[in-house]
Amino acid sequence: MNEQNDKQVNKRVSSFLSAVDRGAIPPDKQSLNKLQEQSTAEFLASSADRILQSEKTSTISSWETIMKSPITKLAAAAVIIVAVILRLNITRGPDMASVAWANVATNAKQVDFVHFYELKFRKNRINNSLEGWFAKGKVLAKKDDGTTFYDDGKTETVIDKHGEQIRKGPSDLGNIKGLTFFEKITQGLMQYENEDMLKQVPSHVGDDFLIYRFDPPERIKEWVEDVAITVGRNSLLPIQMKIRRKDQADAYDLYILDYEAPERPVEFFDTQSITEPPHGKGEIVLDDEEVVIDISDSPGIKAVVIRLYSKYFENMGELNVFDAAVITTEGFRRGIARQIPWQSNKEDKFSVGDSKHWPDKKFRHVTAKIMLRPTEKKGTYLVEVRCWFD
Amino acid sequence: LYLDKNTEREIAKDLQKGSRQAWLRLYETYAKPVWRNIARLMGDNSAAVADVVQETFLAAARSARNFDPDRGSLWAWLWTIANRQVALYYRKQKSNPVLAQAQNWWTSLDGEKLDWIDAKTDAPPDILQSRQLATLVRCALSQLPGEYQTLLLAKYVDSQPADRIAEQMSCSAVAVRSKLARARKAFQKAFKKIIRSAPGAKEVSL
Repeated sequence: MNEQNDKQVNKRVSSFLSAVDRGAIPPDKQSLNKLQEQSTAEFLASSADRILQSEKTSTISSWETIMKSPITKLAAAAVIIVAVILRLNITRGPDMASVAWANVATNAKQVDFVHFYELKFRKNRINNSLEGWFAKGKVLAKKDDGTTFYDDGKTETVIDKHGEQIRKGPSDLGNIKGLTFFEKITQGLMQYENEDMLKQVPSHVGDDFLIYRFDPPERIKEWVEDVAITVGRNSLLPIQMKIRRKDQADAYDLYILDYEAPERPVEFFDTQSITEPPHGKGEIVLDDEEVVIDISDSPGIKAVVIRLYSKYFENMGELNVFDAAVITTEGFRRGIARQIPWQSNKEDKFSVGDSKHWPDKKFRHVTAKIMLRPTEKKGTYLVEVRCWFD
Repeated sequence: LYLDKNTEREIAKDLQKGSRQAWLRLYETYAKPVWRNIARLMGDNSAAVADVVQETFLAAARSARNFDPDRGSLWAWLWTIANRQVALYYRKQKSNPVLAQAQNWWTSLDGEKLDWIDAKTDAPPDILQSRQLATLVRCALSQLPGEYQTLLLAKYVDSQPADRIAEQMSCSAVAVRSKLARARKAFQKAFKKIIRSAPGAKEVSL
């Protein structure tokens, strides 16, 4: 009897489970090829990080393996500053020749905004380039092929030139809190202050700049010839890093840095908090027409549309729920029907957007926080909205 | 398809050293099977499948150096990561309208539905062929432990014999049969739980 029943269950489970192959997406060769590269880079980078952590030194195990993303490429460049074993080659200038690297390091730690370029020169021409910004604890980098890397300290997102999100993962910067830009961008490695390094003095003193020259440590000698860091004479901040490579002929990576705030992409940096004043507000009537709330001071967002209505919930009775949509300045609209109770005087939050459903197929994600405040008139409420591009 | 124990040990040793070749070998062996099984759990949303596969391999890449062949096979380790990612996907999709629709569809069906699951009566063929059933089955399957998923998919979808599964799982065929019985029960339980849980809140795109 039991055996018979087992057979039947077997058959039934089999017929149910065979459903899972229906409509299942077969392996996509292109995606898997791309992922092979990404995951290999991740594996190598992770292996390199392990070595760093285990040895508690500021050296890196392999120049290539840490280059997992444009953001960390810059990090790697700066890591070298920390990692190098100094070879003194001093051409002392009249005044500034004795300024130790410690002064530059101290200044760099005060920085909370950096605009930078990474240019990779191969055979005397730029092979590829990247522009990036660091501000408010976040890093944004845009490659010349249109790829965008964004790290907000919690998540790193990679978006391709079509606006499609191609990767989202844990932040490279997220594990380090309360540190300055250089500490963050070097993933904490600047903390390992090396006495020899701090005592280093310029190898060249110009009218407006100082140059600190470092030899690579043993482990990256295979890849790197040397590193030269140009520092502003007055600011004592790095303005250029040049890494000459010996794994390729006529090859060097150049990093140009400045500390004046140019126009950074606001949608990435100027996100807001609900504790600040609302971007828009309006009166709304329960079970009535939708209300368009004009939004001001939130770049890229024109209005938020809300409809408030009542819905019956089992064991809870009739409660307020809402539908909401966001209208961008281009006139694109994305919305949600949020069928969960919306309580008065309590913040609620919703978010819309991705890279597929906007008409121009570009990645956009909007978060909105809304507050429903009762008025003296029954069924009439005041809605406060704060919204922003993530 | 799968690697023998000695090869796995070699790969594990090389992974600990940070060998690129070892990682590539692992990837080439398992990328497609991982994709296939993830797709079976997630259905026809190609972008979501690609995302979960990506997250799986990136997470695996970050922890590959910790892989210990004494604690299980490479596949079991990899599938544990994949299972976690799939579960995460489903958690984020709590208010998935496709699932809600499938739940409503099930509710609207006539007949002794629980008996269909328990194999006491036959389910109509059109029910077994429906995409809504596939959605519910996927969701139920996604809530099982990775080992049960591997077993159920290998046995009932890939139609592998018990002795071959046993070989891959480094256990006896008897143990496989016993685990399969438990996996089936777990699946039935998970399926019932899903059809009983009507979402209290739904969030759908307009």
